[in-house]
Amino acid sequence: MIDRVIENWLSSINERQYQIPFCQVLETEGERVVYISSHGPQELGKDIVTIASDGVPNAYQLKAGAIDMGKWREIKGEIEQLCEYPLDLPVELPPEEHRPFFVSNGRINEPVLNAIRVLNEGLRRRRIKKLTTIDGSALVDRFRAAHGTFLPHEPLDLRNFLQLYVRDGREPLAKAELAQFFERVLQLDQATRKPLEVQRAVASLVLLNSYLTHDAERRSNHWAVFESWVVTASYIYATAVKYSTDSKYYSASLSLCKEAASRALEGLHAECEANRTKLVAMDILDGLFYGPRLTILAGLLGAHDLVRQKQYKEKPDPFVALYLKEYLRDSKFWGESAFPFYVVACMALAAEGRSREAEILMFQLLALLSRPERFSPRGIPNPYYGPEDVVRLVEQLEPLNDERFLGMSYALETAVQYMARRLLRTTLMIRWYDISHVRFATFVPAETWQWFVWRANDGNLRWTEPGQPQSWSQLLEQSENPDSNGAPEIFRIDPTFTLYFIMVFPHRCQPHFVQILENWLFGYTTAGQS
Amino acid sequence: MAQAVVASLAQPFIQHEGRKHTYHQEGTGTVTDEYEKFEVPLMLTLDEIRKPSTEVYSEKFEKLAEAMAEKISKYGFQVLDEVTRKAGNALDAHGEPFSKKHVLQLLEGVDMTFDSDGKPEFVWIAHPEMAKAMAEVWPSWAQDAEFMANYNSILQKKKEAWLDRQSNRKLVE
Repeated sequence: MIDRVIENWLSSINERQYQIPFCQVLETEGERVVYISSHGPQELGKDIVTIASDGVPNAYQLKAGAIDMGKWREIKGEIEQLCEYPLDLPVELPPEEHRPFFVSNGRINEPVLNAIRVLNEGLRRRRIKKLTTIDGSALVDRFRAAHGTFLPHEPLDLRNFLQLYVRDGREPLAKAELAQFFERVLQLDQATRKPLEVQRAVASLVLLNSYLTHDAERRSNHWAVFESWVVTASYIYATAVKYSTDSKYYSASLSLCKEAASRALEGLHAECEANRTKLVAMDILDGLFYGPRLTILAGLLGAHDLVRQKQYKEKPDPFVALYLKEYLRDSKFWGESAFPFYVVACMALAAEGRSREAEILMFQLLALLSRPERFSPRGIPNPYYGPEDVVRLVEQLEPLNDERFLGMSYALETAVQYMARRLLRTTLMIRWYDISHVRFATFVPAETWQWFVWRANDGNLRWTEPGQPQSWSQLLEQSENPDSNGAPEIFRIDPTFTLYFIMVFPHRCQPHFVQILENWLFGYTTAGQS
Repeated sequence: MAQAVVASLAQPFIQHEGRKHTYHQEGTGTVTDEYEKFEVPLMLTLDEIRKPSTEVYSEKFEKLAEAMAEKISKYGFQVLDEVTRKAGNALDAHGEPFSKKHVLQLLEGVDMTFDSDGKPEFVWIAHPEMAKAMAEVWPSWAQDAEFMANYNSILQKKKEAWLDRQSNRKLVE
């Protein structure tokens, strides 16, 4: 059955959509991916470049669909570049001449294969390495083999897999279901695993996620695609931490996930920039979700820009700056799961030099969080409720759910510490009476690896009372060195992941993570100074 | 009919992950607790399955809800009892009938909060028979000037203590 799914998946996607999973297959087969193109004109026929186990570089050109003579004539120029042009990439490569590969997820017909034979004869005479073809059928075999034993086998797992596979790609990601499926495939209840098993398990996870997000990819649901890759990356970390695995066994898979997540944000950015009219409320029914949509976009676009600035040492993106200026005021705080999106938006504002606006935004959040009864009689829904869940609660579509949220907050402590780090003492002093009526809630998973799973079975929900009275110097100290609550060092070592993670796992957003991100982005100590 | 008295006093809250919770408790310090599992069996006879009846099912579920409410309430009282004992707020009447002296002793032992109109916010939880008896004697106690003077004096002290606590809700050096 899995073979049929792989076949179906491969036949329904374009070359860009199978680029990342194909990289995973190559990694699993022992090649080391050193370059993945962004499909620009500068790629000169090379979509992927790897170093094979014999030390020779391999260069791959990916195409989609059946390749007949008409198509071949269209792409022949690129194929010639692939074979003849030397590798000219911003990475260190061995001196050997590369081996060219032409890959298609469809069938390469006989006349084209014949043309390639003739091409290869010409290359041989010029002492250039011959072109190797990989067609759809060979790809299915290689994808299948890359999974090893980490595939859904039990009827329940197969059913869950198919349900996720046929899900409408326009919908928000079913994070809980995806996480549950990953947990069963990974069998995290096993006490021990060898490093090579972990390597194969996480590789399989990358491929499975590629299949499961195909419709979201096809429909350009960048948010769902982004979230799915962050969930995948998180489960890779969960597996690696649980089985104390050296990073060399999972770093390639992890990098592919982060690359795919970043690409999804890039796609979102491009779409928003190209068609800003879509940012306007469409019709009366959009009312419930228009504000939350703008909030989510503020966080995602902000994250995209922050990572880009950090990685390429670039200036803030003018479109993101414009977006935050024009649309943030219409965004909506639907509940505490919106908080991380605002945190990221504040960071993006600060990176643009609009720190004062960031502080005002955080102050507004703090004011709301410290007077939750003003939000609604039942308080502010905690971060375990996403935007759609909150609508169901508010519209009383869940009559059996009578959870109340007054007097407690998972986000308030982060907001307080954010203000304290900026020495906004007077502001906090004015608000402290209200703040002191709200207990800070923090969930601490029992085991380190459980930080990365959607819901930890074991763990402790800690309630702490704000100080009465609260010492300013103590608060300042706490804001500079927030309690990590035993969170793994990975969050500090991999801040890009942390930035993505807090938006996808809003119930894990804690003061410690925000401080890590601020240190990474701005080198903050006190008062926002480096 | 059994009522989930304790549950109705508390704010419904769901812990979405994990099995433990830690909080600070006045008088006892930091407390870490786990959750208690409550279960009530539901029995259907073969005949009731063969011939489903809304009335029968409704009655069964009603009883099931009552039994569950009773279990939760009992457990709640047990926890309240333990907590008040630990905090030193429990009153042992040593077999004496409930009296004015006990009311004043009880009030002395607890921290109170007051609403925006300055009225005390506290709830008496008592066995239905005790509650009835208290309701009956209260009008006559309220006529006892000495008792009411002591009662109001305690409330005044509690209010001052509450105001002190409120004034501590601030950011200091």
